[in-house]
Amino acid sequence: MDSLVAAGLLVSTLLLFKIKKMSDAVGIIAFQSALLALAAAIMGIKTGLTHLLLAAGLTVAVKTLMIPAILYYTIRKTDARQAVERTSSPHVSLLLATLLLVAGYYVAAHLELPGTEHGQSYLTTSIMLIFLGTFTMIEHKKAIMQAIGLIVIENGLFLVTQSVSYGMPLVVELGIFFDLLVSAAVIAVLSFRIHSTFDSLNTDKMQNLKG
Amino acid sequence: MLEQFLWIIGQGLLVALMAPLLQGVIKKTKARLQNRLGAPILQPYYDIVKYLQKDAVISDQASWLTRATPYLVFCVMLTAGLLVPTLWGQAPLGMAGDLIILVYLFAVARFMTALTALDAGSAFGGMGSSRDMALSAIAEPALFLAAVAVLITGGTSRLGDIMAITVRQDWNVLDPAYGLACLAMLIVVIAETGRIPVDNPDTHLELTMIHEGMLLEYSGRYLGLMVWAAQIKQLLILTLLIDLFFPWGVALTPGVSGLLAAGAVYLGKLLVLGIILALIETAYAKMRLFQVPRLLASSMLLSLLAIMVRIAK
Amino acid sequence: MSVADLAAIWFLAALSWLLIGSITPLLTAGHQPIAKRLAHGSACLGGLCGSLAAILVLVSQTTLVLTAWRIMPGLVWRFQVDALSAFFLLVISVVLVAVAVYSDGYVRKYEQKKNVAYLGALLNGFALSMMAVVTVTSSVTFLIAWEVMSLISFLLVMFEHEKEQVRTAGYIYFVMTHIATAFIILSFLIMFGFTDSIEFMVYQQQLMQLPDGIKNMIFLMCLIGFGTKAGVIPLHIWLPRAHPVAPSSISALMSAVMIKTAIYGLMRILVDFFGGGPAWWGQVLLAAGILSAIWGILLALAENDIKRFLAYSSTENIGIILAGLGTALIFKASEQPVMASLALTAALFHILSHAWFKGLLFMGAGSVLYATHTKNINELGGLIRKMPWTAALFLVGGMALAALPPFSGLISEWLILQSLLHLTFDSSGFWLKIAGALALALLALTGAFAAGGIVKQFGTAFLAMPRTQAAEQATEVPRSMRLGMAILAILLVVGGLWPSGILQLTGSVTNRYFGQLDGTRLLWQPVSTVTGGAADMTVLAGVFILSAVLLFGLLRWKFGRGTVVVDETWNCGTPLTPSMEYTGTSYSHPVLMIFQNMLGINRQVAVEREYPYYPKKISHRLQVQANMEAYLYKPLIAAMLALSQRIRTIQNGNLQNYLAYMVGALVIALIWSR
Repeated sequence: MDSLVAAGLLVSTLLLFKIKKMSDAVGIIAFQSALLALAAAIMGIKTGLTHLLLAAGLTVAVKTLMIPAILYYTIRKTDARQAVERTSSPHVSLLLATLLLVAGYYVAAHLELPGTEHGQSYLTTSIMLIFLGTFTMIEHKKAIMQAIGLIVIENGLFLVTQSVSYGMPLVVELGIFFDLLVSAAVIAVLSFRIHSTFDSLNTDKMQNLKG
Repeated sequence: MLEQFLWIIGQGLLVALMAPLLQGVIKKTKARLQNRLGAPILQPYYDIVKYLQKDAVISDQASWLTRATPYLVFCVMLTAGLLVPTLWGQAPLGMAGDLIILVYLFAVARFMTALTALDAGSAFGGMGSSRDMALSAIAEPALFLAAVAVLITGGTSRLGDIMAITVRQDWNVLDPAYGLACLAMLIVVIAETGRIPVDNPDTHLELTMIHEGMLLEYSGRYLGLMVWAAQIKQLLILTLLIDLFFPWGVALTPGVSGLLAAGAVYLGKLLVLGIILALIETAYAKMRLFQVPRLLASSMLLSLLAIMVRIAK
Repeated sequence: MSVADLAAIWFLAALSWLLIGSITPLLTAGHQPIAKRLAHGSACLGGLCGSLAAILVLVSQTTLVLTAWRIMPGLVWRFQVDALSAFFLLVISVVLVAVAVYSDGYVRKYEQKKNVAYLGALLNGFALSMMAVVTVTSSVTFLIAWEVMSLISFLLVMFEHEKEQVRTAGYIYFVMTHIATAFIILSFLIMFGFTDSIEFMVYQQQLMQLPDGIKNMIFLMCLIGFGTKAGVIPLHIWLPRAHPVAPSSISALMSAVMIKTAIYGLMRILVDFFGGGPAWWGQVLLAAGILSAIWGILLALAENDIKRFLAYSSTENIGIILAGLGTALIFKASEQPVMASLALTAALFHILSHAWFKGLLFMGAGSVLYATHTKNINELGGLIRKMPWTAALFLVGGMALAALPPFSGLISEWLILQSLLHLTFDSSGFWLKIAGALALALLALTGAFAAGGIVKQFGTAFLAMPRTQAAEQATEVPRSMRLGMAILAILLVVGGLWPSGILQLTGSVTNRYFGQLDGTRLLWQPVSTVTGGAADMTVLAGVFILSAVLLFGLLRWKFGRGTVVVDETWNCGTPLTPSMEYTGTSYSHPVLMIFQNMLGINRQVAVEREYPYYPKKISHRLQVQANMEAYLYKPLIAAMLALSQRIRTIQNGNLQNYLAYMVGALVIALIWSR
């Protein structure tokens, strides 16, 4: 079950490099977050820690429902064509992502983090998620996709904490969720502004602002 | 103690009273070489006495510096005179000052003179003062270098000690270092005494003057003291040349007869040097101001060569 | 109670007063007169206590160790006053007393314009940080104190920040001082790397055993780091800019004292840690010192700004000090401890007398600025009648700077020249002897030029007729300012006439590191059995006074009182106007023309003709281009800019690129750290 969830997480992230429409990315994020919630719930049931269940619930609420809703709304309002813009072609980016996966695997194998009994299987995946999330931000040009990359990184971090120490104290967890929500909202607002200024969401256009 | 005191007084008087005589000899020789009759040899004495008797006029711009400097410069020169061995192989104040102190005593006299030259606000004074400070600044290292070529034998900067060592070691006159350093020192002597080809002591023309320009605002007793001080300095510089390069004949052991003989030898050396200076002054024309540093630089080069030769031995 | 305890109490009192002085003025910033009194009072008391402590330590030859604060395990803030520290503590404290007294009057200049409470508090903090620099005992605490000192002095330089010139100077100072700090940190890091300790005590025992290459590296870094702070040419460029623009009381502290802390650093590392090092260290220091001295004084001669002149002269004097230190190291390396002591004594003595006369002169320049609101000597003149006290005190300082008798400047110059003479006499090696003679000649040249510079500054600013309205209306400065200057002037006289007292103090430093040298008898006793010199200002001054009295009496007796008529200056029949006076520019013209190839002189003569041969007006401009800056710094700056342009392609403002750097760095770091 654990390895299935982990594989689902990885595949869903890799899909981010194959998509053509931005709204697909929102769907992927929602799906990935749901898987994450599932992983947390499984861990919660296995260990009997209630706060893990609470975290799973919060993940569903914030990451699978609210943030995707905000992002979807933004995309629909701003960008009619919804086309994804990359710095390289989809094949090259997929290749690079695979390379990063290998690097992440290698790193995680040698890092010797003190993984927990039920979290051990997620450790490698979580580090790969962090790498891939950052790579998403590098690869994609549109502002919305930066938000998506950020959420993937956050998912990775969430998973790391889960697998290393069964999550963080609830207050911290709550703070992070709130943080994420605010950043998604800010990115949404900024996207509106960027769109109204440049008539595009491509961050390359912002180069023009440089002195 | 009493002997020490008498010695100090005696050398002070000797230096102060010999200086005008030397000036008179040089002037007379120059005049004779230029086919003039010239003033009597004792004329500098008459001049000084006359100056000292006369009332002084000073500028309404002048400050207390102008009134104080003549006394200061004169007394500094007298004090400096006590640091240079003349007849006896030691200077009366030899334990209180060496060559470096001597040079800096000259420097303080020059400093005060140059400063008061600006006091009246006349441009002549400024001109003389700025030229003197520029040229004498370059003469100072030349003097040190020439002296080092000699001092290196004894490894001391005390004039008395170095004289004794030179006399006893009987330095070979044919030593190339000796000639080089002596020539270098002669150039410095000419520059320090303000004579042609560096400076013209006989004129106040703004194109040529250096030292005389600074005395332009002085008159009466003040001028007398300044002129006398300049003559003492000339004597001291020549004595320094004698002490460093021709010390033979100086009295090393106490005794009246020895001192008298040394006195005669010293007088003779001074007169010969004075005549040589007069000869140089007659034979050469004054240099352009900005050529003088080259002359002094060549003096330094000669001294350096001399030092190298002495070290290499 | 032992002497050491007494000294410790005085030292603590000094630190406490300065601490009080740095805080209380800020609390009473609303009431400026109170804040002013508080600041200057505690600075003065702090200086007095500090001097007492330093003298006690030096005389009793003890070492104070005070543990102040255990910051964390392995890092303890400790004060240690050994002979070397105490000597520099003395330098700082004495000048601080004078500056505090002077500043009490000087800050009236800023009334209604600035809040002097801040100035007073910073003054105290500045003094406190300098005292800390010379007394702390580990590299970390040294760097903290050093950085605090740099920052406070930067703030003080920027005190009149509304002026464009001040801001530029301040930023140049900021950059240069941090380059210096960077090099110093590097050298301390190397030391830490090899000894695994930050304690100076460990360095004293272990650094000697380092491999030669590492030692040399540390030496070069220290030379650049401390050399920049000291203002050694060619690293001096900040000094003539920053020192003149600070408030004059601060310029006095910076020039007289702060740059000496760099010398302290050099001495601590080279002499205390490395015990002298190989001969070539000394040779490098000697060469750098001589270069600095001669170049500094030539640039100083060209200046018409009185404070810039003094600042350049500081680079000259630092050069002289370095020359002394270098000579000491050369002798030490060739196992001639007595000669090494002589040279180190010379350097220490010059540190002290330079602190005094430079402090005095900067305060004198500040007084001129206070009275006339200008530092340009070509706009001054005739001040000796308006400000007789300031003029006399300035003259005393100037004569000491020019190494003229009977002031302590001469004694230190004599000691330096004497040690260079002995380099020629006694050192081994042909070229070393020649170098000694050359250095001697160049230092003599420097001294003579310094005299010329002082004649120019004093003569143009204080003598003859006032050139402007401002100079005409000048009045004597307040009593406290005169008192502050007088303190240092008296010290200069005492140091000149009674040097044996000071030599006793320097003796306890030199005895510790080099050979036994009976300092008190140094001046008239041969240094060793064969060699020797003599300089006894007391006797000479006595003879001088005696001869003056005799002369005066004789003239009076023989020729009567003699009348003096005061009349106008003869000016070829036309009335004399201030514009006919010799200006500062024309005064230094001959020297600049002689050295024009070295300095890079830009001379423009514009003739406005009406008839041929009878020009209506001739204007003459003379500007020193400072070849050193043109040929050394301009290419450096150009190279830096070119490099920055290259680096810009990396830092292009593109978010994705930055993220890529981050991921790259992360991956590499993770792989590397496994």
